[in-house]
Amino acid sequence: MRTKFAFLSALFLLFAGQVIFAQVTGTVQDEFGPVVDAEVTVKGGDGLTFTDENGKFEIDAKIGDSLVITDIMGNTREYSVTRLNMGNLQLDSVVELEVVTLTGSVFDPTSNSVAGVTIIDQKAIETLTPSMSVDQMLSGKIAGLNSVGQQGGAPGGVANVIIRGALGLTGGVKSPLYVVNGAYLNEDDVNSINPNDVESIEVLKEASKLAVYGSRGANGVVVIKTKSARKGQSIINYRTSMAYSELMSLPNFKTMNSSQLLDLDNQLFEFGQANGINGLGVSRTPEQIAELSKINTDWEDVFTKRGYLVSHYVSITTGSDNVATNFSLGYDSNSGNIVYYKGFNRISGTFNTTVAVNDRFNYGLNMSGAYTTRDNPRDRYNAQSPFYSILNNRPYTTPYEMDADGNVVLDQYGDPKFNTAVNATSYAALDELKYTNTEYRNLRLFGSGFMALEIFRNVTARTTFGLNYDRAQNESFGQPRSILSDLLGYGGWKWDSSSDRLDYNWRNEVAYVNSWGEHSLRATLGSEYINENNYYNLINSRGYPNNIQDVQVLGTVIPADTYTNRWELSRFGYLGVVNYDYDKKYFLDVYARRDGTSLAGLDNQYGFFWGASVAWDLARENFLSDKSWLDAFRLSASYGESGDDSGLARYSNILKIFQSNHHGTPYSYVSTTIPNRDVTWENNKKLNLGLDFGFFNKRLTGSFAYFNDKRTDFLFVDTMAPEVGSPSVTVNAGELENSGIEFALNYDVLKSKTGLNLSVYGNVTNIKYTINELANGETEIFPSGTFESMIHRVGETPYSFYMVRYYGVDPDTGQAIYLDKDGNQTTTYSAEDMVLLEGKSPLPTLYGGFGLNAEYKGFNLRADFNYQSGAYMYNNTYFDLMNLAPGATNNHHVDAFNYWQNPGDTNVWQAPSAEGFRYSDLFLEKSDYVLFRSLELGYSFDKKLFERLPISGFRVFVQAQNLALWTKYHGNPIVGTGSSESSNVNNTGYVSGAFTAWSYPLSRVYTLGLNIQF
Amino acid sequence: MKKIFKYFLTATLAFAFIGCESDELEQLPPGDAIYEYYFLSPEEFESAIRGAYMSFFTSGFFSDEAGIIKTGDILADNVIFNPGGRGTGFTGANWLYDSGTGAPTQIYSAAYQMIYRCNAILANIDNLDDADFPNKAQIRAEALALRGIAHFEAARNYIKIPTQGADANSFVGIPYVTEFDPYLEPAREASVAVVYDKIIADLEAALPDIPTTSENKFRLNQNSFKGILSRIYLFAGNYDKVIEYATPVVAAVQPAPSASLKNYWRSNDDTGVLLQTIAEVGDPVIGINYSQGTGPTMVAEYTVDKAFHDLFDPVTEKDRYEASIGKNNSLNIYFVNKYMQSIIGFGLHHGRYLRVEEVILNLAEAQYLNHDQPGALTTLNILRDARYTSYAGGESGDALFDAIQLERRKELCFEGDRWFTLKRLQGVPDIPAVYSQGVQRSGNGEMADGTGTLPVNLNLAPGAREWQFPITQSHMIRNPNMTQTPGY
Repeated sequence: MRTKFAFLSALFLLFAGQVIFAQVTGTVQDEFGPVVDAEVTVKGGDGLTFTDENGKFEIDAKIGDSLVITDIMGNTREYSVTRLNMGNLQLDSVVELEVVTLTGSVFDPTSNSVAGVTIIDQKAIETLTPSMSVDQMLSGKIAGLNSVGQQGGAPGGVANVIIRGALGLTGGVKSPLYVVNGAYLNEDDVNSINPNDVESIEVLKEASKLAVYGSRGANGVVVIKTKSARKGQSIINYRTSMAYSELMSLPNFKTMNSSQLLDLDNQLFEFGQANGINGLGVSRTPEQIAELSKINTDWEDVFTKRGYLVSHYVSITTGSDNVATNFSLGYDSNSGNIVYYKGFNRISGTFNTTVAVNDRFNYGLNMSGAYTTRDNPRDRYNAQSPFYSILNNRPYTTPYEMDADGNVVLDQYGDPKFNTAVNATSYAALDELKYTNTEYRNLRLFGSGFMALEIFRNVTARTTFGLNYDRAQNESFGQPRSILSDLLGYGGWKWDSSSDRLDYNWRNEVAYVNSWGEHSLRATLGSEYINENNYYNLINSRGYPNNIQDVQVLGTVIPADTYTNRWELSRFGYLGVVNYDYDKKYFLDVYARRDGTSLAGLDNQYGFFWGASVAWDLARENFLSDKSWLDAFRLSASYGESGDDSGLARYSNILKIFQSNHHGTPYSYVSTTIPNRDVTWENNKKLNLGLDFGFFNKRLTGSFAYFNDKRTDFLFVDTMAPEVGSPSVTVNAGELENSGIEFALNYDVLKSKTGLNLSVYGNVTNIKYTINELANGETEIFPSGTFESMIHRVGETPYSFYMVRYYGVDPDTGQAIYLDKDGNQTTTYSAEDMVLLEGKSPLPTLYGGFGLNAEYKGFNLRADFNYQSGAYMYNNTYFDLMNLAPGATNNHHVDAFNYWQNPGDTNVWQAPSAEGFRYSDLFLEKSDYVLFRSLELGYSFDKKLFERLPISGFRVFVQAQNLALWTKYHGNPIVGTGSSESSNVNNTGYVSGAFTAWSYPLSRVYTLGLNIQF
Repeated sequence: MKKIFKYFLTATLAFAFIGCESDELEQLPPGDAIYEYYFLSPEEFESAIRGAYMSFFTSGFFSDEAGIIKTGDILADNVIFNPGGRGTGFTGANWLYDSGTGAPTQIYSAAYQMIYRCNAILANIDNLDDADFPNKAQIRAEALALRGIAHFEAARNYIKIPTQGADANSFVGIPYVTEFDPYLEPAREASVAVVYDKIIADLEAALPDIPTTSENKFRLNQNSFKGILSRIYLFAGNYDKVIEYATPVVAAVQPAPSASLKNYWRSNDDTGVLLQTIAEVGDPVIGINYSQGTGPTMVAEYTVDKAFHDLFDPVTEKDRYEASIGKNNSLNIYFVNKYMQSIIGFGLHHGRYLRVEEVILNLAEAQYLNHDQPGALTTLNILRDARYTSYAGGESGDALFDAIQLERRKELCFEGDRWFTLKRLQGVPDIPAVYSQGVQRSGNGEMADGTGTLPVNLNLAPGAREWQFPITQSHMIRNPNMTQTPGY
């Protein structure tokens, strides 16, 4: 570190320079398109010009000047000149980002929309409830980006966001980097961002834009900008909403009622008797059935509640000549839909300021913070999960124990006693929900500070320090009265864990910017150091005196697994970037960077990566510039490499000796994680061919991109022979290719300043995934730890399901017929007949969104849909509720009645049997869906109504979220994690969307809100 | 422009300088030692050999599900699957396993993990000279011994036992791994005979350097090790050796007196224990293998078969009966009482890997099969004297053999022995035919009166493939040299 300090101070001693005038260009737009004949002046200068019929202007100005733009209606805005091509300048009422910086950082992406960069503004995410995390809101909004909530509708849950199908073959999610005001956030931190703070979100997909983020950006970057002030104006904004929510019913899923299940039990018992299968069904007399049929518990009613969501948000932005600040506070809560749980709460705040000290020096500070609390029920593949219990519990049982007179039995505390005889496991999840308490609390602070200095003419030095701090605490208390405590014999337990994590990045850059005539050049040298470290502790104890007091001074038994631990990793990289353009028509960007990571093999820690991109703006060519229907037509091509080390586990480059203590004496053993001195960066090589266009006064705009992402030397954790202890080693294992197209289109069907406006939009992404090559000439490898059986084979889609093929039911015997390895029918199940199921993997091949937006005299209506197709998901939920086997006395899906009973039965499920269903592709289902994501109707009152009041705007709106879901899947297919206690995103072999097993369903939310501006 | 170049040059040089500096990229694990700098002191070897013993706590040995206590009983005829339980072990208890479901035990992974740890020690044992390493011979002996024991555990589950039939010794073996090389892809040994020869070679090599005593009986000592040898030689059918090794152990260690059995199964007494894991809070909970909870909320996975229950005489062997079996009146079931209540903490028990009672039974059986019936009777009576207030005794011939096996079944019930006894005796000549009939369940249900739900399958024929477990398909694919167990 010392050397870097020396370097920094050296930079700031360099000080000299002047400024030069140049042609500044831009396009003025409002919400209706280009603004014609707007006046553009240089503040305090004598420059004056008017925009042409396309809203374009050119004026002599220098970086740092302010341009004042006034339209014919007298609306006025000021913009600081931050670069020679100012791009699109908005003149509408949306609070705009006001950048009062010197030459921007190379780490800030350009705001010009080009293929490979997609921008969405706040309007697109406003229609979703603010307690939903920002990453989930991206779903369907951006070509190339797929977002699936990890745990369905769980309050405070985050999403698996995957850009252009980024994936690794050892499992996990190749999440993009989230950059919020210069701070690097991890995917888990995203729920601490208040969506109300978001002004715009840019998603960077192609290499030349990603390159500056180095390894962190290898899987795409989501740049989130929060609101900041515009000069000369102060705005106070208050927004509030109230909502209620209910769980969406599971599509194609209907469980039996009491009399149906009792009937099935008897049928099965008789079938078992007739066919010599012990343990099948339950025999009951007609009297017993009549008695039990009187009870018909709706377990969903019992376990769920109506949820309430509350949101308050206030922001204050002020801008003066030299200082722009933004301050906001927000509060959100979402109670969720599970009884006894409190759900998610967030208090968030943001403070941004940018100060121009003088013409040559400015600095800024952006800080955001959030305090969140969250409790979620067990996400477990057994009766401890409320969702398992909702579907499996027998409808002919009661939630509470009843005595012979039909009264609820009370426990020693006078509370109703939960009935445990509700399922085959004899477990009452309600008791665990009520008598165990879990809370996750996070305090997160993230932000960045920068100083920029024009050290001499055309040369700016800039240093930026970004940090992300997360203090996470988890308390879990099992009351001594709980059934679980009784079963475990703990006498109550308490679990306190805490982690303290600081990630920071420190970037230094020197930029040279100049123009000669039609030539513009910018050259940057930069370096970046990244450090992430984490401290963790866990204290737990058992044996508690009562059901209320839960601090660990009261614990009487302290287990040995009380410990602390820590980890740290670091990366260092430096880069050079050159951006050149000729007359804004021809563009060339070139970069090179060298990156090192502490995670790689000790002989191979550094990698070299480079890239280049070219673009051609045809609309600016003379031969096309007279075509008035053509506003933009830009072709671009880029190729670039970036290193990705996310497939390398911490400290996997060292052969470790695990050390611990047992019974007071130390012990140790050799880790089975085998280091590989040569393992190095996975190289993500991205090719992007793009086209951006705008026609007919930008009524039709869109972009198209072809991409081809090759991961050479992809990282894979190879698990070796069980006979030597199943050691594993991380290797650079081959080449993986994702290629596809993205297409996004927006069309303003009706456009008028006073009448009805209607626009429709849509985007689609189509991806093909292929394993091109495996190292050492291998043709197939098996990922370890995947919840379902999968294979990687050369020439095929990664994570192809690897299963025995189910063929049908033998009409004569009712036995299941499978196909053996060679495709012959057989009734003998053998796991050796597992084959790769071609084209069947959890990876979606087609996804996107579409919707419409209408406005009429203060009213607005917005509807959004998203969809996905081409992926397969293993349906454990349906499997379990369809399985007719000994002991399967829980509730069933109504489809289960349709089983083979007599010779000749066709179109039936297999006959009940001792083994039940075997593991085959029978329950591998397509997870295609279309979701009606949101609908909003709003009304903005005329400003004239408040002329006497200090109010400048007033808007009311109603929203509905998750109105409808169309799918053939049995259950909810929109879930990243099937069961987080079986396979979560941090586990080896985790594959997003690979299976379902009793997850939190989506919530339908109805919102009423208002927005006041002062 | 000159100035520009000057500063750019300065900046470039500064970058280059930082790039050369790589200390920032060196991150060392905060809690682990590093292999290259380990195995360099006697203390480190001491620690590492304890690490090998710690494999006894992993899933497959003394663990909550599919462990050593449970597998050998739920696959046999002492207990009945309870439909009101959590469903654990259903596939195993009904012999429905194949390469898709995997074996009904985790012992394969656990055993080879122990072997990996032992081989790491053996590969480095000569890093230190004898002079600097007083315990070197002992550590080497313990590593060899554990390596042999672990192979034996895998072998008795996955391949035939030498006494299982005339062809048993020529049945294909399991890999016998003696190298510390994570990249090895070991193949099966040619036969059962080869595997048992290698096990015995490791154990015999270890024997002289195993110490006389060990603290808490957690590590091997002469008595426990000879006891284990008696078990393995019994499996191998070498009765002279069983007698040779069991005799001194039986002479030196008294069986637990009846009065202490209740405390014994609450981990509050270890009289007669030869080798055990020492459990503490936080260790795997082994007390929920058969049931958890008490009274009406008890969730029993397996209940005691009424037919087996009735073999006990609650009067003359009251202490053993009560220490082994309990009655839950509200559920009307007999539940397994061994490893249930504990003084250490809920479900926490010292796992009794070997106790002298088994060695007594090994000795009696070997004496019988070696045609020393009076000796066998005398040996058997050592145990019976400790268990019964009165018994008839005086058996000979088949009746004596039956008596030995009855004691074995009752004494070692719910500890995982039964399946291996039924497997092992199938090919032993000159014993009653009942021992070569595989598993024959009573036909009772799970309730105390024998009613309830019958197990899906009641009998397993002696020659069935299920006596040897399949290799899980997901294991097969990780080692190209491995072959599936014959029959699957």
